[in-house]
Amino acid sequence: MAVPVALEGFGPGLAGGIVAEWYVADGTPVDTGDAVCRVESGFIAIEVEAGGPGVLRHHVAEGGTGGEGLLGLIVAPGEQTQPESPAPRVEPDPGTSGPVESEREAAAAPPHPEFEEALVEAVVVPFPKKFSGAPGRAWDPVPGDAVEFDSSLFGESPHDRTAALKEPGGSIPGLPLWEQEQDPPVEMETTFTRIQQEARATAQVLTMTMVVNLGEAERMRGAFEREWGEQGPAPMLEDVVFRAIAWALEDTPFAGGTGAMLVATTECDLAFAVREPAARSFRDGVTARAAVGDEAFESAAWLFVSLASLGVSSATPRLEPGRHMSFALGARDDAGRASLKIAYDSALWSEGSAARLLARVRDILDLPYAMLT
Amino acid sequence: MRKGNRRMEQHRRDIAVYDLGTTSYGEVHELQKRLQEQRREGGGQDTLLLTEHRPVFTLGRSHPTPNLRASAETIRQYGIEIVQTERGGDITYHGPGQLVAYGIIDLKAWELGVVDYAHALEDVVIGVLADWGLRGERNEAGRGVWVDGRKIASLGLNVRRWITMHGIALNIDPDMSHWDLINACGMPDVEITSMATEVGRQVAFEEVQASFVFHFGRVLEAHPQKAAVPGRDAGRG
Repeated sequence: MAVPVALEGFGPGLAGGIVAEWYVADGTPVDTGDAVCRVESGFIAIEVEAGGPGVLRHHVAEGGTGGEGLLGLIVAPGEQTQPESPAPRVEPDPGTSGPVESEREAAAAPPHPEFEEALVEAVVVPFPKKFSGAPGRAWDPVPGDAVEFDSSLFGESPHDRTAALKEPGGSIPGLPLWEQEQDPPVEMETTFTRIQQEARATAQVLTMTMVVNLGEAERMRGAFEREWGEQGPAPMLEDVVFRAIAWALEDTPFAGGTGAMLVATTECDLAFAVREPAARSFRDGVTARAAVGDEAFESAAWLFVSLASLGVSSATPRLEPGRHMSFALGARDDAGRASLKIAYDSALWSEGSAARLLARVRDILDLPYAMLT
Repeated sequence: MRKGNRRMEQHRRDIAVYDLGTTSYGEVHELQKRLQEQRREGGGQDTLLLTEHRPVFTLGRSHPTPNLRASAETIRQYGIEIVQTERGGDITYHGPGQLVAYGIIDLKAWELGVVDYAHALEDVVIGVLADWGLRGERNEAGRGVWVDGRKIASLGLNVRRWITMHGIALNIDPDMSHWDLINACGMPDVEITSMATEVGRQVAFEEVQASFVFHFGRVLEAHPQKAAVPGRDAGRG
């Protein structure tokens, strides 16, 4: 007699899910208790086992939706049981991932009564913090109310480890772990290689613009020009913006390194590269820049271009190979505001990260004296 | 829970609670698999494992390709592991400052459906958040617990022969910049938050952990009992 393979009895609210994977191919013999497939519904994965021995026949194709009905059958060898009509495979929308897809299906369905109840229950009155500061916590043993533990799982195991483990950073002494399934170095390398290839394959140069207020930056530049006098380097407004960018990058994984600056004038382009601009004093940085920089322009990890003196209001900076980000500053308007545009490598920066960086630069330029510390 | 109220008293829901401290994902994953297997074979006991992991991105079984927003090189610089798991769902992050609770529970013995249990775990977190004056809620955008449309706790379960593994992760005060490296849960526009962010001050990990166990017992009408981790807690009482 055929034994059904079904997702049943897992309780109300689980109307079904997608047959994410058949572990055992159609027509293959299985034994009682063998995991034959996995059904996923949102973030719940249920592994369905064979209810008896026999030959597995699939009823729902991998990727098809399996409700509480039949997913497959286990038949006796030689028994002819043709699947009636396999459920159609659900092709995922290339723009979305699995859980989103399944959750969208769930959202389209009428809300489950229990879920509605649960939403009402979700309004919780703050619970008295019985546990806080009290000598006895909720989980502490109560005399005469102890749970019997199977200590053999831990202490008596042949894998008992009472000495410190070699796991970096410590681990859980006493727990019988790690004696199997441990060949991560090759696996990890493979994973990283795949991730790297995929990230590069979909990488693109994206841009983002923010308006910054340069009023305070200009006042600071003027103050330093007066203070340093004719003996010191002559600071440009671009020096302040350049330092603000370097300062903002310090809060990212791209801290340090060399930054490059290109200032377009009516005569020519002035190009400089300054090593570790955020790590040195403002005067030191300006001095290095005034001395035509102290690094090769091509070696810089990021580039700042200023077209301000030519009156260009906004421009998209070029992102050259080897650089992760470029900035372009436009001319100031009458209110002292200017556009700061970035072009970034999407494989290295997310939209959010790039936007946070821009916002950080804007905030620094609002109060530029803070970056002199 | 309503179902729990109807439960016969003789089916006591005893559960051993292990506070594992800071762990790497792999070791606890391995322990979970063994506990689940042992429970499936009719042995062992219902167990709640509490821990905070070293930084790791975990992938669901159907999403072997990481949904990353940064290059592998960047992730390598952060020192974050990537691990494939057998739970449902897409990529998520675990790291210091995040309370992770894994339940290895025989749902049949507890007379609970899978969705009942998932809802219960969400209710536990909602109770914890309420202790800090936060209103947690469910969201049609996905499972887990949300605060004003921002996701604060992620849920992922694996069930085999009625025995659960994996569970729920609550952001107490993790390094939020790590979330920027992935499209959390496969959703590019999901905003992640933490208790510290929402309450605007530091939140003590141990207090949240104790609150979690308290509400776990309350919501699931269970009897959590702290168990000593052999070789580590011995002698501490």
